[in-house]
Amino acid sequence: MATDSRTDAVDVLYSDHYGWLRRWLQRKLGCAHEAADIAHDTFLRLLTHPVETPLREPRAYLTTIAHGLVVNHWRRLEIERAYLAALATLPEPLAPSPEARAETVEALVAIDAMLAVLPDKVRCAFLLSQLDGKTYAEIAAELKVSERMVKKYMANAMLNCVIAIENAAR
Amino acid sequence: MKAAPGALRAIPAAALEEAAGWFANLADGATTDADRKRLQDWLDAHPDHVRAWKRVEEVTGRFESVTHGGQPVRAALNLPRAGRRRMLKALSVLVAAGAGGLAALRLPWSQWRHDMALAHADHRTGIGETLALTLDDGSRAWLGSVSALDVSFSDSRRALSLLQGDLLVETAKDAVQPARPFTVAVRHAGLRALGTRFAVRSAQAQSRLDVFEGAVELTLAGSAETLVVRSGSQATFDAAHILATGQADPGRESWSRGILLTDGMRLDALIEELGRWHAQAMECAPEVCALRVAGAFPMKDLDRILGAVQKSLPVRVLREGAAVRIVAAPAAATQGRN
Repeated sequence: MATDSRTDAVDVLYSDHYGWLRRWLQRKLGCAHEAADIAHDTFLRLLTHPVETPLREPRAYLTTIAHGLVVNHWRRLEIERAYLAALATLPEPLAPSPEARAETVEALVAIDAMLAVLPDKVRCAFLLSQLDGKTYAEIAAELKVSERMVKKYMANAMLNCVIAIENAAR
Repeated sequence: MKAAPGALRAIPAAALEEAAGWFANLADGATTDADRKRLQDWLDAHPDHVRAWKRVEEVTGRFESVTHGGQPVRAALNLPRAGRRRMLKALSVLVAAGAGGLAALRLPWSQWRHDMALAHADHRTGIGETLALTLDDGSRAWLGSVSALDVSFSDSRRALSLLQGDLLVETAKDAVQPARPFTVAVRHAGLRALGTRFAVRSAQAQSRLDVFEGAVELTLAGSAETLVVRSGSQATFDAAHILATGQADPGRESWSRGILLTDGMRLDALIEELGRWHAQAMECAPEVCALRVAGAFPMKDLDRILGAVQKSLPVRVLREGAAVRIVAAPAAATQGRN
């Protein structure tokens, strides 16, 4: 099967470069545990997102992927911290369970990633509509643009999101 | 990227773009039946349209999973704090969606808007909880199980909005003179208290008002029909019609003291009421639904209530895991137990 040769190629990459990548990540992150996780995820990514092998510059390629994962990792921490910090201000009975928290953080990370490529105003309009239930008139007033522009923002944001989901499903 | 063999071919970009356009047309919330009809026509026109629309719903579904998160979710997505909620707007959208039919096509945003309003409500209760509030004017309010209330007092009005569930109000004489009107908005009507104690339940299909002291003027949201409900009376209504009137039920205020009053309540009504206060799934078999239960019970003591039901009626209470099912008792078993 085609997957076997791909797996073999990743195996070779893994045995040649895993140790090096992990050390590279550890210097970047300062944490051996996280470095091992992200090095592992980098190779996982190679398995799920196949590329033409053999790679001409395997280490450059690996660090590009790993760098992206590090950025995501930091973004996730940032989101998680902001969420947990805001939660801490809620009265006790309203606080969600640890499981619910973890699920919410996952969902927030997914939403954040889905919206990441959008220009600020488009992202803001979309969130005001979808999280706050604001009308286009209200969003238009808040962002100081016309209602027609808000509608365009909404279509643009949704198109980017559905394309992101469609691509991820392929 | 290439589709894997056997996978559905990619949804054409044009269909995704049109779906995003439809979303933008509808997400303003002021959708009409004609809008929804046009969307339905577009969906019917090609299977790719349905597939593209499913992607739209996946996106909106991601938001759905965090809409209950309130401020922490907002903070995490790095947004400014939400302004005043658009509660009435959200409700009117729901009512319109309900009246418009089109059940096959779920329009999730009307529901999220409602969920959002609930998540951001000033006061909320979980299953089995009650909350006693003293309002700024000295009026008192109690929220029942799974209920949500917004409070908005200003120089000119004392306005409550019951987003869902049960509310009992005892109004105080306003210190501000002339007295500001005291109003409660529910899904199906606006209520104006005329010096009083009253309970209101706001549910999906209909609402109910029980007045124990004074009087309440009720104005239906849909037809603008008005009715003054006086002390000792109740009215059941939806947005368009007064569905029933009769005597006020003391059970509709006793919950605020943690007491379930079942003064000849039908078993199915009791099960429904208990279902509002307890997390367990509960149902009763059709043949025992119409049996009637009388008594006063501690609302929280489900075992005791169900025990009393089994003792006083020819039924058996079956516990299946967390679920409760009430069925007719075999004749012999009934005699044996009594």
